[in-house]
Amino acid sequence: MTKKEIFLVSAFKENSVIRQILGICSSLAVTNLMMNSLIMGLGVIFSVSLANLTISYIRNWTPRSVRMMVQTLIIAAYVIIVDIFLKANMPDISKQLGPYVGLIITNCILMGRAEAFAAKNKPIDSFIDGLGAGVGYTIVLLLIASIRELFGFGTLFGISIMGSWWTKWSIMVMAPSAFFILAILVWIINNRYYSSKA
Amino acid sequence: MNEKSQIYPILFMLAITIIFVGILATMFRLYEPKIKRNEEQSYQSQLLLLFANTLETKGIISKDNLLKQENLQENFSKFVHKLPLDLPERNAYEVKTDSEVLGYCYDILGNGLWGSMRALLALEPDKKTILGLVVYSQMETPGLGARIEEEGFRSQFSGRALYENGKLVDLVLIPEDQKPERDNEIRQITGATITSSSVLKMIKDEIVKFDMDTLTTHKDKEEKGL
Repeated sequence: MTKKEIFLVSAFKENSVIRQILGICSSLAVTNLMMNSLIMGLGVIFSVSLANLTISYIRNWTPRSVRMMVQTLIIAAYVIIVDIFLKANMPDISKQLGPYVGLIITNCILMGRAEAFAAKNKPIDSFIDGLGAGVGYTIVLLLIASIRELFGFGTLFGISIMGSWWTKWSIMVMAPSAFFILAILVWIINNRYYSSKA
Repeated sequence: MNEKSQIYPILFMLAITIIFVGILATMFRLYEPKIKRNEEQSYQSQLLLLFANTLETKGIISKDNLLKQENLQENFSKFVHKLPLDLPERNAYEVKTDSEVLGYCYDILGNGLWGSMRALLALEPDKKTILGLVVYSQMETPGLGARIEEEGFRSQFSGRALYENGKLVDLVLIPEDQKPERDNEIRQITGATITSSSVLKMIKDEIVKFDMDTLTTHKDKEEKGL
């Protein structure tokens, strides 16, 4: 596979959220605002790509018996770096995201990519695969967030779209709405683009 | 060393842990002062904001000057003085100029729907009227319960009397779109009834505790040299 193919497969063809149903917890939790989703997505892109790179670099020295511990440790280190960076430089967004930045550690996408790709491929390829997975995740998050923020707040990225006459839909602000939107998205996209496979 | 040996995985894990924890510890130490300063600044500006109007109308300092980031620390130590308090995890402050007391501020805590919340409650010098309220830490639902942080909800508390005929006033909730008719009515947040009533409960419970702790006792104790 060329590097471009690796990226496209990881980001779209095998999209972690839509195709593999991974990373659902955070897709439900932080998608009530576009800004939160974007920052969360950037955090995941950063962590998953660098974690993949590092795990791939040391894959030949890593004993099989402890490889998962090593992967978790490396992922956790990068996620904590993101958390500290946000706390120091973007305190407002850090406050809104609350515990979810720390929970990137347990986001299945990261562990999934580490185990499925980085543990047996070259560093640069792994980095690109991580980048793809992160970008794919971010796109889905932004898609869900655009619907939730538009109907729930009447805004996009905090900019008023609907005007003051808009009655805000409380359900859109709460986690269950993301559950329905995500399910509908998975349904539509799988039907439209992957039906021949199934 | 052989990868199959028993000791190799342990040493490998140890080395990796030391390297990564080292990186994290260094990074945290580098950013620690900045994180602390952020938290402190946000706390100080929220507390001062509660008294900004009082300070401005009395012609002591303008709101902009008071909350300017570079003056924040100086203004805070100039106007805000911590009071001794026996209640754990809570704080009480006296806000005053050289000549007069402008009010008191209680750092209170209570439980919301999802977790604990913390607020600053500013009182007039007689401690019988609320000057302002700001919830500075909460875990409520964003867009619903979390709106207790917004001006529209919290500004309602300004000017409310805490006591009527020597008894604590019971604040009651009314629907968000109704106009309050009585002095004790607070417009709740639609879709966040539990959070709204938690705020009222927190204020009431904490006022009782702070009254029991009576700051005057401390003053008496100090004067008597105890």
